[in-house]
Amino acid sequence: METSKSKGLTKLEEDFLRSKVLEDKKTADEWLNFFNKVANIEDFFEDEIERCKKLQNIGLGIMSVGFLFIIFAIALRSGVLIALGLILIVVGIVWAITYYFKKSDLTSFRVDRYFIEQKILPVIYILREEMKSSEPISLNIDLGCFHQTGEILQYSELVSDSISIMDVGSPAGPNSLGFHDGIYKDSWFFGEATLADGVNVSWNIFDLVKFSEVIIPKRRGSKCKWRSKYKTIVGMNIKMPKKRYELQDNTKQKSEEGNFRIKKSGDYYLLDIERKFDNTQFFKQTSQTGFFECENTGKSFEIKNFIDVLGLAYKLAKPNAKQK
Amino acid sequence: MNNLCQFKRGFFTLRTCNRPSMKQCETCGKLSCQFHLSAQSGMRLCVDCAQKQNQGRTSNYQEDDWVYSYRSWYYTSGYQPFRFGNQDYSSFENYDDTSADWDDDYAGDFNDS
Repeated sequence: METSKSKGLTKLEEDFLRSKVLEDKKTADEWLNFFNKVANIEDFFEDEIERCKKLQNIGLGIMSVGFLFIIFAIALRSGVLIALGLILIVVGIVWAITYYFKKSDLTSFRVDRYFIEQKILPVIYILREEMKSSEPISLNIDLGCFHQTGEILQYSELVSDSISIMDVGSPAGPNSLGFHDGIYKDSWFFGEATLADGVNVSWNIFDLVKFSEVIIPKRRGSKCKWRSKYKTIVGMNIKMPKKRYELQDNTKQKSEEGNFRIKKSGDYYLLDIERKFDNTQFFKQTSQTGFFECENTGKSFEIKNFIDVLGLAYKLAKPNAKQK
Repeated sequence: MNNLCQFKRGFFTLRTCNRPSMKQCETCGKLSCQFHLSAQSGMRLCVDCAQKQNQGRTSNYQEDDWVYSYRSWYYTSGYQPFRFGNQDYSSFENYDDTSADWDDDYAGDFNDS
């Protein structure tokens, strides 16, 4: 396994922490180790970040000594001391900047620990229960901001006449005054796994994010208000082997437990299930600069949603009476 | 003597755990593997006995305990798990996944729930 020597991280861990995007196949235990490690990355880097802070302060100290040298040098009219002072200032600045960027690099590795522990790990735990130890789980995760990676489903704007119209699909820039709203579809969690009973599950969990933004002109720049509302949709394609399960073929139904469709195909029943969950969450941000903090994806998802949808497939199935 | 875990593994379907046992539960005496010993009880009790003592779901998703406490809670909602023995699974190992009949035709509206 390729490992980043400087940080003790594998290539995959480092890439995920930097980009918040991940696509790979591992066993459930390997994924649990992976996510437990990245969720605790701040602890992992704590000593290193502290060391960088100290070294950065040492650089600032050297720079201060350089200034003192120059003050004394001016008082003593000593060219040597001035030169020494200047060298110390330059060394101090370079030193402090180097460790400032090193520290920033490490802090850019932060991921939302709560998110990983509450939303991703539980799915892996549930799947581990249902799977053989050696069977892999394919995951495709994108924890980037919804307005950077999401697909825009609906968009409208009311913009003042003299102002240029913003690009569709991106949040308004600081100069496009007016009112913007729309809906993003942010698919953040795909995966596929084959369970111990031969059932193949592929899931797609996505958020529908309704956003609205008001940009008000001010004497200096503009004031922006951003509101977003999240809903979770869990979709699953499930292949249940006929040898083990019986389902009612050619069924299509909308119910509170989810909308589903059952078809026969070869040795399997194919179930398409989709359910929208109303665990809506609201978020507000106000910005004087026109720039908003990145809103993490998947805010309204709960592990119960995943269990309810997969559980529906098993509730619809009966054991095949012909099985040996 | 059989030194395998005597608990059931699974959530929607239950099957014999069959992992090597680590110790006996101090309450019920069943042999248990590391996954079926409750971390909350300091690995003294099995997850079932720990669940009975705690009388509730744990929300600490970093421990194995929560899966079993959630499983117990989920079954109280009326879900009946499928129960399979180990031999049942062997016949499923050669299934192929060749069907291309998959689609994901979501066209939902934000307001329809």
